[in-house]
Amino acid sequence: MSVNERPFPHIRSEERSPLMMLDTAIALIPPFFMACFYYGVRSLAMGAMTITAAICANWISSLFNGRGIEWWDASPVVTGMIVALMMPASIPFYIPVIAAVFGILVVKFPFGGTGNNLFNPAAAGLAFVSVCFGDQLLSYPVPLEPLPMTVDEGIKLVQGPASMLKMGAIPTISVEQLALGNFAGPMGTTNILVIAACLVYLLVRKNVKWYVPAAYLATVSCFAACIHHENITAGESIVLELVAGSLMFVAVYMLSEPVTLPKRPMAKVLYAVTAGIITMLFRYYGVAIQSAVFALLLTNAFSPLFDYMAERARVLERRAIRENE
Amino acid sequence: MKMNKNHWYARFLRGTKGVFRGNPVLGAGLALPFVVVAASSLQTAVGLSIGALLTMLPVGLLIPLIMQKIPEQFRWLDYPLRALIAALFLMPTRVIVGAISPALMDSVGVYFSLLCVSTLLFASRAMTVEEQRLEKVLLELTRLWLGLTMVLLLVGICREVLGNGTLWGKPLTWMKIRFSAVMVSGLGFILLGFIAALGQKIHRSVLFVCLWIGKNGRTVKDKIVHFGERPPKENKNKISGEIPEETADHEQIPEGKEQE
Amino acid sequence: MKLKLWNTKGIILEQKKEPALSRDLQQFTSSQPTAPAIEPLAEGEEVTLDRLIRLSADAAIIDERDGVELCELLRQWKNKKLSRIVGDAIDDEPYVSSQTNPMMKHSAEAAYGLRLLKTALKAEKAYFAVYREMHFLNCRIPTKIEEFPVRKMGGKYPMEQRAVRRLGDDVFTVGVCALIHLARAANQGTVQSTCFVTVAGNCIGNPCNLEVTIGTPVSHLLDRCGLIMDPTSLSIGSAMMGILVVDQENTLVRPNTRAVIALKEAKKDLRHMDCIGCSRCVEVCPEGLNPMELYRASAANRRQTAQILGLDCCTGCAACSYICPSKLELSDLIQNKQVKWKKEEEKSHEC
Repeated sequence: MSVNERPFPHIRSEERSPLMMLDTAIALIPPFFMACFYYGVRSLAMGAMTITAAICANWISSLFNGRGIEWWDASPVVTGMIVALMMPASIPFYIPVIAAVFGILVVKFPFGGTGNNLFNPAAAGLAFVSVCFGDQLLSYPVPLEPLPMTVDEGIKLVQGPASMLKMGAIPTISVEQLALGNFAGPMGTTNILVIAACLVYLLVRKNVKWYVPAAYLATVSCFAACIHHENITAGESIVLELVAGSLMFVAVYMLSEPVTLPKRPMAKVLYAVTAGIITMLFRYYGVAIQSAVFALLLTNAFSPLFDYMAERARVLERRAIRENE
Repeated sequence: MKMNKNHWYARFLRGTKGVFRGNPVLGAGLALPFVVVAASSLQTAVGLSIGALLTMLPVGLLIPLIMQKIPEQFRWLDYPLRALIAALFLMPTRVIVGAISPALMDSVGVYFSLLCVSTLLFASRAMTVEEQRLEKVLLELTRLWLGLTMVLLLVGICREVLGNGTLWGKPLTWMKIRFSAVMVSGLGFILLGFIAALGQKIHRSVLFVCLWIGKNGRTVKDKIVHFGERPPKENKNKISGEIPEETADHEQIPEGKEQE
Repeated sequence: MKLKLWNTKGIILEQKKEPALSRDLQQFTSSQPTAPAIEPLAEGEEVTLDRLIRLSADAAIIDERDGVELCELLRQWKNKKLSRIVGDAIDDEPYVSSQTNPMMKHSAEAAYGLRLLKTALKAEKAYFAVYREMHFLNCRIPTKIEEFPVRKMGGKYPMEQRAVRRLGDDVFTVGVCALIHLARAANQGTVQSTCFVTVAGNCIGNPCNLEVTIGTPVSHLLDRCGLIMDPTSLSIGSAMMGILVVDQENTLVRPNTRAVIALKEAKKDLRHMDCIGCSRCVEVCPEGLNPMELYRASAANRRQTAQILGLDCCTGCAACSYICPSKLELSDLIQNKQVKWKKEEEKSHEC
């Protein structure tokens, strides 16, 4: 009777990492449905092209990595979906493709591929594209008007609430429009209720810890409640800030990316609070581009520091216990 | 395994020590601000390289000559003199570079004078050659300058083509998308990193090819020579397919002992 | 009173104790013991600590939790004040029930042993402790055994070591099987020659608890209970922390072998990907260490970094390897390096 010499433990949990990444991909499908409802089939085509480009870039880079192509790796799918959903629906197809390819070939591959990226690849791709084609990313089509596949000059493009808030104006969005996401904005980030439902799914599947988006949104709400226009109340200001731009989307899908998030709970809370503070600072004092994404990139650079601080606290605690004994 | 091609490659790398193997920008990180921030097009890259040459050469030429004449007590004047000469030649450099690429002067502005600091480091590195002899210093300087120019031109061309879609100011018809983010210094660093990675890849491919060529030759009863060392001199008479050392051994055994 | 370790770190394991827990304890002894009988307790003899120490030393009773002799344990408590005695019947590992089952089936002897200790050590209270998180059982765990209550201790795996630590310095814990053997030595004067072993796992046809002569080869136990599938791992002790059995004929049962578990692991439990940094191992480590960083430091042979991160505090409970979704061998590598570097340190101290 042959017995394999596998090390202990001999029972393992049911979770597997490819399935965990697929969970995030599944949680990104409802915003695609909403985008298709508002903007037509063009949004699905854009999503498909971006995902394909991301997967191909990942295959090319894993050939060079020496690990070979890992067919079960779902992380480029998630990257492609996030990049596609953050774009306006009327943008030419090559822009999200460039963003996804940049994110994977320049930000993920040189640092070691899946599991080793220092920065969120989707956020980095969006940052690159925001600097290159910034004005094209800030003009959104009007929802509920189906878009043709090739967008020409005839489409009406408007500014989103984020730019309006930046300029000091108060965007007029009624409660129904807010609840259903019926206002101008990036493809997948306007539907707040859908994103909240996906957050619940991710919490149940244990992909996201509850205190990370909670700390982020709490920080943003504090800022919004304290600093706002004179004509609106604190509550309205909080709602507008949460709805404008891609804040909720970033809080749910991009903040809890497992590789860049610190590992200790205290470090995670610190990370989320820092991201919130930097987001609001960018919103008040920065140029009118997607502030949440850039704030996330900056906080990614601090994430090893927070981890180190939390580890150091533990080391000192253990030393104190050992000295007391 | 024949290591001939490896030795040839090693000799080549030793001969071009500042250009490929000991590249000042990619290998030692000197003059990074100018490569990353200022070299945003081909014109500016050429301007920078000429500016670097004009500030490096005088230092490299004059300092060894002067130092040979100065007595022992005044040897401490070495470093202040280097700085003085580099700064002196900054003025004509500024005029010449401004004529080649006015865009460079606009982008770099007041910080152009920092160029003399970077080139001072280059010249100092060149003067660490054994015996501060003029020919050797100049040779080293030329190699370092060639290395810097190579990187500057690569970075300048990439950034201009990708960012503006032009080459030396003339627009390219096939380049329709403008990645204007490449002009930002962050992406300049990333571009430099990729060029360094490309250099490593080329180096390893050449080594691989040399080893592959060497494997197809016949085995030689040599000592193993490490990469970069000079191989022992081969005896040209013995290249005829025989293995001469065995016959030599046999000859050395005296016949008397064999019979015993 | 139900004792519970609130908010402990650890993992919740599915305790597949049935059907071994409810089945009768069966004998699998090789022959009659040939050791000379020792002097049992006479009727009406006063029970003192010294008498019990002598009795347990003569009977060579060994506590099944860590292999320490009962007389040694009793000697440590000679001049100390203690408030409670706890009969430890906590089986926090899946499949293992080699303390709970004998406690239920030989409850009179267990109670008699505990009574002897309580009288000798002059303790105020004594009770049995059982693991609380056992669900879907076919039998009921009794709440009282003779006059001693049976208290349930809850918490996540690993529980037994932490429970013993948290009960306090003035509590004497002793394994239930040692109590049973003490009772037999006091009553009939028998030397301990058997021990209680659970044979279970998803490859065993007839999982049950056995009273086995010490020194029986493992292959006899497997023949007794029957294998229905070829196991991929055959381990002694536990499914989580046990020792792999490579040679069945020559691996013998010892008093601290609590279980023999034959498992067939699924192929999907092999290592998939690299670490994705999900930090589940950090949440789960009961000692508060960072298994991810320890794994990276151990794999890169960074000894000082690993020691600063707390390599010596690792107890080898394997909760991190259990929960890792990429199925990395975290616990194995960390334990290997711990042992290896400790040996190197001892060698350098000798020199």
